[in-house]
Parts: sequence; structure tokens; C-alpha cells
Amino acid sequence: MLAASANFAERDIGTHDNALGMDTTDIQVATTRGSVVPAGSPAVSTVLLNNQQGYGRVVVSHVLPVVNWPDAKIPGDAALTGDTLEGPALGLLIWDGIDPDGTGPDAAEPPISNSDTLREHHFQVVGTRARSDPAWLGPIPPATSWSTTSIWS
Amino acid sequence: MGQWGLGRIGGTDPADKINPVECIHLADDPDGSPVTADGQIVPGVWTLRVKLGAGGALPAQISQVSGPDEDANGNNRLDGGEDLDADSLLDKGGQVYAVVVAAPSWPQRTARNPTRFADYPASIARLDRFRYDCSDDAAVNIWDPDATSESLSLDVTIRVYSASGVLVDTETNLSFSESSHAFSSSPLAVRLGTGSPAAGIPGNGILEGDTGYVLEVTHSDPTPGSRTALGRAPMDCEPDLLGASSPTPGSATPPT
Repeated sequence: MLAASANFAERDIGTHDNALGMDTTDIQVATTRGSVVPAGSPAVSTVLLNNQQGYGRVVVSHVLPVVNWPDAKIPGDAALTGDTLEGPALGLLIWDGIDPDGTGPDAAEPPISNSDTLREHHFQVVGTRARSDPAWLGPIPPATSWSTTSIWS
Repeated sequence: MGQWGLGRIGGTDPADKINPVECIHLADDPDGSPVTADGQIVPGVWTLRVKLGAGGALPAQISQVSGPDEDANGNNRLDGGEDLDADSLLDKGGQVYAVVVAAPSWPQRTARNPTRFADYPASIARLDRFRYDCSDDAAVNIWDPDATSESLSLDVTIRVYSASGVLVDTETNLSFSESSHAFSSSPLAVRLGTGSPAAGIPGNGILEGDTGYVLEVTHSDPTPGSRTALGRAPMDCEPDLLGASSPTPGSATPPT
């Protein structure tokens, strides 16, 4: 799903599954917050939301404190708004339903099904101190997890 | 869990039923005050669990995409001949998903993780700035739950590579201090090397290079199966006149 999120020429937004590039249906979606467009083969009227406006498109750095975030705690008014104070995190782990190496030896994250209802992964959080310098106690990276299910495609 | 990880205080959150993206944000210091013991992050092994929920159009059931995997060519697109149940949806044998964790963390080497994680570094190595000029000092930060300051002095090396990838300087035997598995080294001076092209003297405690060179810190973690952790940062010995006049918020190299 994350790999698909980088595929801006979403073929299934087109008038048929093999449509490439922008056609009138792509334009229709791109100029609205969401629209009913033909998708699939045979085409079925389907609601597709405008990813560029934040619907469905996965952009990791928009919602996760990845390492290229500014080295500062944000948002600055978190104490007032109740938002989570966050700074850049040191690591990024991804388990993706799309095979990360294509035909390579690795495998995609299996789906959850009615017969396989639970999946667990373990990861180690090393500590809550960003570094040993006491003067640097402020910006400590948070642990954040984020999951997304895919839009059916 | 409420929308975007917010707590659910009474009632229901209808957004959860239609929003395909869920998020859990945790903070070490939610109120921004180090005096308050309100951290939500505990060092150790965490479990990330994805499971079939109790809700849905058919409670506790995956519907519509519940058929066997129809994606014969594995391209995640519904191609001709793949819609075996003629419902215009590409069944993948269940509900597919992706999960991401951003944290000071690495995956555990267990059967619960893919094989690609098997040799991931079991530590994190970073230089303390993203770029160095030739009057800076460079320190190394290491996060490792089973290292000691003494072991890091043996296992951590800083190398300087030229723009063409030639090794021109090597420094070892760094001195580290520790707090909660986070280690910081004493700083080393970063300076313009001698000669043309510039080169350094290994082991003299000075990182010598030139513009376009790269500092690379490596931690040869003795943890069994661990890949070497590394961090890199470029050198730039040219005056940064534009940066000095227009400082960037969060810049690790403030203008002087």
C-alpha cells in the first residue's frame, strides 16, 4: 500500500483498469474532494477520494515523526490543544501488504482474513533518552505507530 | 481507539468505521514538562498487533474481499481474468494492510517478523549534525541496549571519505558517556586536511577532509546477527554566506 501510494498514475482511477496517465476521470477526481467514477473491469461506479487533499494517499512524513522532521518538539501549542508533542524519530519500520522486493525472496505482509484474524510483530524500543547529554533532555523522539488499511484496488 | 489515536471518552467514534488510516501517537513527555512523570514510552520489546475487529457491516467478519487471492500476477491490480467471483473487486485472500512504526527502535529477530529484518542493526549510530564545516566539532551518538562505554570505544570508528570515495582518515578509540542506553562521544575536531587532494592523519583525534568529503561513523555491533550500524554526514569547508543570513529553524549548524 505504501508503494502504491507513490504511484501517482493510479491506473484504476481511469475509465478501465489499463488506463494510463490522466484521462477525464482522473481530472474529475483531481478537481474534487471525492467523486463517483467508473473503476474496475467491468467498470463499476465507485467513490474515489482526492488523495492530494489527504484522502487515501499515504504520505508517511505527513503523520509520522520521521527522521527528517525538524529537530524540535511540535506542535508548539500542544499544551493548549492537547496534541501529542513530537520530534523526529530515529527509526522507521515498515510491514507492507505489497511485496517489498517484488519477485525477490521476501514476502508481503499477509492479509487479515476470517480464518487468520491476528498478526503480531515485535520491535525493540531502545530508550527514552535522546542522548546522554543532560542539556539535551528536551527533544526526545517519541514512539509512534501508524497503520493503514488499503483502499480496495 | 478513537480517530487518530485519540482516546474514546464515552459514545462511539463513527470516523473509525470509515477511515482507512489509523494512528497511535505516543510521547515521552506529553505535557512538555520534564518534571512530570507522564512518559508513555517504555524501553523494551513492544508488540504491534493487527487483528480482525468486532465491527463492520457484518460484525467481526471481512466481507466483499473475503474470497481467495485473485491477484494471479501479484501486481495488486484487477487485471482481466482475475475477477473470479465477478464482483469487480480484487480479492486478496482477506484485508491487506500496511503497518509503520517510527521510533527509536528496530525489529526483533523472531518468527513474527519477515526474514528481511534478520540482519538489521541492533543499534543506532548517528553523528550529532547533518553537516560539518571545517571549524566544527563532531560527536557520535549511539543507542544500544547491550553496549557499554568501554565496548563502544572498541567498536565505533569514524572514517572520512573523499568525494571519489577514497578513505583519507580514520579515527577510533572514542570516549563515550552513557545515560539510559544512549551514548555520546567526546567531540572530535573537524578540520581541513593537508595536501591536494586533502588527506588526514589516522588516529590523531582530528577528522580531516575537505568540501565534498563525507564523515561516516560505523558501529560494528557484536550482538549476534547484527549488521553494522552507520551514519553519515557531509563536510563543507566553504563559507555558508546564504545560510548565515537566513538561518533555518531546527538547523543543527547555527550561523556564527
